Amino acid sequence: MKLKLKLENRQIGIFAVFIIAFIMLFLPGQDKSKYSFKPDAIAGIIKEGKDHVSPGDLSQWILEGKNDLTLVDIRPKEEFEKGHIKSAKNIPLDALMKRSTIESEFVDGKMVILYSNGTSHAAQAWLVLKTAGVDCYILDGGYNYWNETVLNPKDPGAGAADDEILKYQAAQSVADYFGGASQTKSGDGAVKGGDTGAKAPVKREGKKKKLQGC
Amino acid sequence: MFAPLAVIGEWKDGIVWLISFILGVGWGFVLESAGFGNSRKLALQFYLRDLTVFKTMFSAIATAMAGIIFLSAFGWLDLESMFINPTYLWPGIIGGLIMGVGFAVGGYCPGTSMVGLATLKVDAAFYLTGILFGIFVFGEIAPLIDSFFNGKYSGFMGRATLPQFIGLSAGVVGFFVILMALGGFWGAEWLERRFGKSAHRSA
Amino acid sequence: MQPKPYSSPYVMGVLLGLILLASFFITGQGLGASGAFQRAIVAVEKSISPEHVNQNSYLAHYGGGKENPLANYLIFQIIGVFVGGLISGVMSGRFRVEINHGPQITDRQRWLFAIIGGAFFGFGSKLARGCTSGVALTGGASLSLGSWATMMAIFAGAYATAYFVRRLWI
Repeated sequence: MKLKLKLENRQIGIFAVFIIAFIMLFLPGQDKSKYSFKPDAIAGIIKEGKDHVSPGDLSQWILEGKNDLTLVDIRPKEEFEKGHIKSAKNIPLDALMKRSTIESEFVDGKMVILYSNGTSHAAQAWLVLKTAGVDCYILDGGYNYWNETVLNPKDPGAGAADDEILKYQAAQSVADYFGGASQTKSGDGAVKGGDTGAKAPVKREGKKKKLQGC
Repeated sequence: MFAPLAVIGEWKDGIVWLISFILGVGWGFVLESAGFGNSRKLALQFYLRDLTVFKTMFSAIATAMAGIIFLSAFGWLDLESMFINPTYLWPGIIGGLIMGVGFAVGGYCPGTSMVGLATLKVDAAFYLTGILFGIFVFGEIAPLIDSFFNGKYSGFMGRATLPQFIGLSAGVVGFFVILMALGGFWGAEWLERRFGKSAHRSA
Repeated sequence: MQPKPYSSPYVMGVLLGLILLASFFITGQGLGASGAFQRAIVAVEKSISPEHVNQNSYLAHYGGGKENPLANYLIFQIIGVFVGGLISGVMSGRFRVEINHGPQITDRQRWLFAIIGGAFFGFGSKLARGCTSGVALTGGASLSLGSWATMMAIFAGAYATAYFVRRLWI
């Protein structure tokens, strides 16, 4: 008697599971891009300066091979071909601002960094992508500033302190990596690669408190 | 979309911690009730004699998965605000293999070893010591293997999900997961009948 | 007290799934265990030598500078697990000192292998960013690609190793 009851329970269970699974088959998935208009949240981000990354951080990340990063050059194709930041991909602004582009290029959860020559176009793109739920940032000062700082590091001069000189040499090797023209080549070949010894790069901030796993 | 409640509602940490504690109590209770405090019972799954772990785990995964799919389809649960484990493919696979070795040799995993400890299983205490040591060692070498763990060679794919990867909707993927689980349960019952006779007495 | 029989794995599994679902629904996070142990280690290291934690980019993420590694939901969750296991053990009569292993080895040998197994597991869990609960259960339910891959790797590794350590258990 007891055994029969148990079997019945089990059969009911399996039957219920099949029904649930069958319904599930037809459920709609969630829209991939979360379009949300939260002007106060965006205002907060702008105020705290969390919409920018500096050229120093960016060069560090590219050198480290950080691969949860997508660097996007939003200038027209001709300008991109004349010169762009290493590892950037070119999505001109007019192509970028299309729903189809946003929904195909920016769904992998990577951090997106936008740049134009200055910052105004990048900022416009930033606003649009932000409302589409993309984790994006503007490169401080754009391509012009990148050229000034990363590609042409300032020579501290003959009387500078040792660590200033070391920093300069490290900055030169960074510049070389990115194809810049250094004003003065250093005499000996012993320039430290990559590691500038500067402060640790800014941690990526999420739009809300970032959820971590265990 | 009003869930996850604590994220959308921006609840204070303290409340979230209290709730996590309560959920943990439920979790520990369920684990112990199913017998997971006993390392030998856990290890016997690898000899196909006691597949309780498989049955429990996949029942849990299927249930929670179904819940997530239904809730997000109703528009109640916002998947973008929920934690989805990011995919770092290579460290994930290598780490998984290493964990497998640890599981077969040690007979526990961290959650079950806590349950074992709570029910006075002495070997659980030793296992926990081992875990702490292993974690410590990892912490020391982690910066050295950063390009594998975090960088170029990690196979990082963001918050990639099976539905995205396969290209089917979550509901369809869920359907097949449930079918697979049911098939697995049927198979597990068969294997236990075949190999498990000698295992049903406790150690 | 004679220990009660174990509850049905399917019923327990569904219950566990509901708890996991509640966790996602309420807190936005799933269940996890290895993270709590990681944070405990970082907290200890921090109390002995904060500079060491700060200089190590991996550890700093958990407890560098002003961050308190223990101020995290995982700590409270694992304490809950302990309490829940305790309650269930007492209620079911399984709350008693035992050393579980197969008939072919001694208690001492079991302790040795428990430490070795734990060390492997602890190391692997941090490399894979989670243990069976955090990755297989939680990540499995959210259908995370990497989690399913890791889950399969865990079982593959375990089944492959099991043959060589069968003396420990059977």
